[in-house]
Amino acid sequence: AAMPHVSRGERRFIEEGVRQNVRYDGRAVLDLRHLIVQNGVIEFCNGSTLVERVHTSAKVLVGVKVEAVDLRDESEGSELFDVTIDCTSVEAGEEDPSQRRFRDFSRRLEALVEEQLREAVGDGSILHVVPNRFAWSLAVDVIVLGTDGNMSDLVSLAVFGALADTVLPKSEQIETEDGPDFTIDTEVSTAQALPAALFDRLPIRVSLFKLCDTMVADACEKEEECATACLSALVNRNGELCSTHIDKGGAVPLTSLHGHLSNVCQIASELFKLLSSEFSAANSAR
Amino acid sequence: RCCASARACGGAMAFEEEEVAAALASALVVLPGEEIARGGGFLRGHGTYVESGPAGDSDDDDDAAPVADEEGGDPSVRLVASVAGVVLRVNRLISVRPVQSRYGGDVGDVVVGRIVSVGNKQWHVDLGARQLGTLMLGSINLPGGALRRRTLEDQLQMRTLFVENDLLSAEVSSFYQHGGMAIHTRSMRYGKLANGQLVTVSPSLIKRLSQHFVSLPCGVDAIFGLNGRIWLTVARSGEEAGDHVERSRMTDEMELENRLHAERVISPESREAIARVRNAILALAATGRLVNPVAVMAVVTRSEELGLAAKAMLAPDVSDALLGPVST
Repeated sequence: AAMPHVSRGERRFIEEGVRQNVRYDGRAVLDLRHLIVQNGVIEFCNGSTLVERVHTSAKVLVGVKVEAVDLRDESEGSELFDVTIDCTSVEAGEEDPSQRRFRDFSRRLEALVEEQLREAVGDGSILHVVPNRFAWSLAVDVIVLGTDGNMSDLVSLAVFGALADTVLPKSEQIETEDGPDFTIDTEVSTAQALPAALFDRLPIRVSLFKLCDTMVADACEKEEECATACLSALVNRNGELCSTHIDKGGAVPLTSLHGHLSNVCQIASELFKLLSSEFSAANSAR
Repeated sequence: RCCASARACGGAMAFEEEEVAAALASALVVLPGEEIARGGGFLRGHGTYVESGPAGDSDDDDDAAPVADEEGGDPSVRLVASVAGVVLRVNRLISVRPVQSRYGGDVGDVVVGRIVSVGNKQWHVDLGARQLGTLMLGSINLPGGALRRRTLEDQLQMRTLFVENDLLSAEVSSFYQHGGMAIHTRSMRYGKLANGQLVTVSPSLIKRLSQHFVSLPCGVDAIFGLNGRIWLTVARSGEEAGDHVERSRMTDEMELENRLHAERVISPESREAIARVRNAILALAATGRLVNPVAVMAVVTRSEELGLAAKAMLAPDVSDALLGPVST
């Protein structure tokens, strides 16, 4: 996964193709590449997902581990999740050591995933086991195994998938001399998923890349290299926009912003349908 | 992924019949850790290492070195494969040629490369090999077909010819002592590539062909580089292919044609055809099949028979239908 290099001839081909709505692989400008989602790939995690784009090198593995924490020991303002992103397997493939951009890339991805989780977790009350006393803390580990453009979207999909696959031990609140406490049922069969309300709030990221005044969805590495701006938004499964960014130093005309954001919501809705069908298939298999 | 095997996988690709028979008769395919020979009397080559005795040290996989000279040497000495591939024996030298590895190259190979840097009277080219290739200023055709010594002015104007990230087709002319390749573009068919797209597959999937510059029947021109890089562009007008020998003298016309091709607006139908060929190549490569014009056209034709749009060819559930009847 070396740094994408695009010659002038390739750039012209890509840009003309976007103008004519026939991209390098035959897709229209708002079409997505095929995805394969696999759940439960890491046995020792509470939840895990492997997401890959078919016939590309893009592959992301996410594992979620859950831990009960005492909120009295947590510092003020600390969050009930911790995200780490590992791009070293991709970084090692970089031909030129001076071009190893993935260190900054992983920091940027961490910030994006934290933004995504913050929307879902909110003030943290949704993860409380004993209100204001004990809560579940989520450790989300993301390993980027390969890249082919639009990695922030793929990572957000994988994080959603891993959280949807996550199971928590069944807990029961009890009263003790020291105050409220809880017990855990260690039987795997009684384990339960994260609260449904969390998934109503948990968004996924959808990005559009601007090439020649046309916004393109799910850009490959070379298209991303040619893009002059990137409009990315977090959308939850109710179709609500949670946040938007414009990156790559470019600009998006205000008059067309509404149309682009509508496209983003439409794409997000298709992705949520894909995720829900994958997870309902996996749950029925269990 | 083991592509040619007498033992490993029953579903090996189909070769020409006589090639299959010859390959099966002599091929010994090994996996990492498999013993190739025991005792003495062999020289260790690439892709192997020696294990000696129950507490034996295993050597690093270095260049060939004599291990044991005597016949009937220590029977606890084992020659073990360190990569998956085919065993090659040349007298006493035993080595394993891996199935998938970086492009090694041979003199005369047609390759597609990308300019990495502009140096002193040379360009460094990424060929996907272990080292960067070198394109000397004296190994290219000057604009206008001038036949003269390269001057200082030519050195100062190298960037008008090739700059970083430019793609070009070339031929391997020789090897340096350090193993790097020297390439040349001393034919009008070689040179800068424009107005198309590059597809990269494993070099082991592209074998030497009678023609690496191919005009596919679907209106796509392709250059099958032996280093695993395939350049796809829209077909040019018909008269150039047959008149190559004469046109090699008419460099101005060829250069004009190249410029016109680079600026040409490709129609959506042609783009769809290029995308279809690109997806056919990736579908073949994903299943370890050889990539050649015949196989690519078979997949393209099959996709049209199935009524698939180009973008639908890469769906995970159509691979069997698309590739099932295809043999290479």
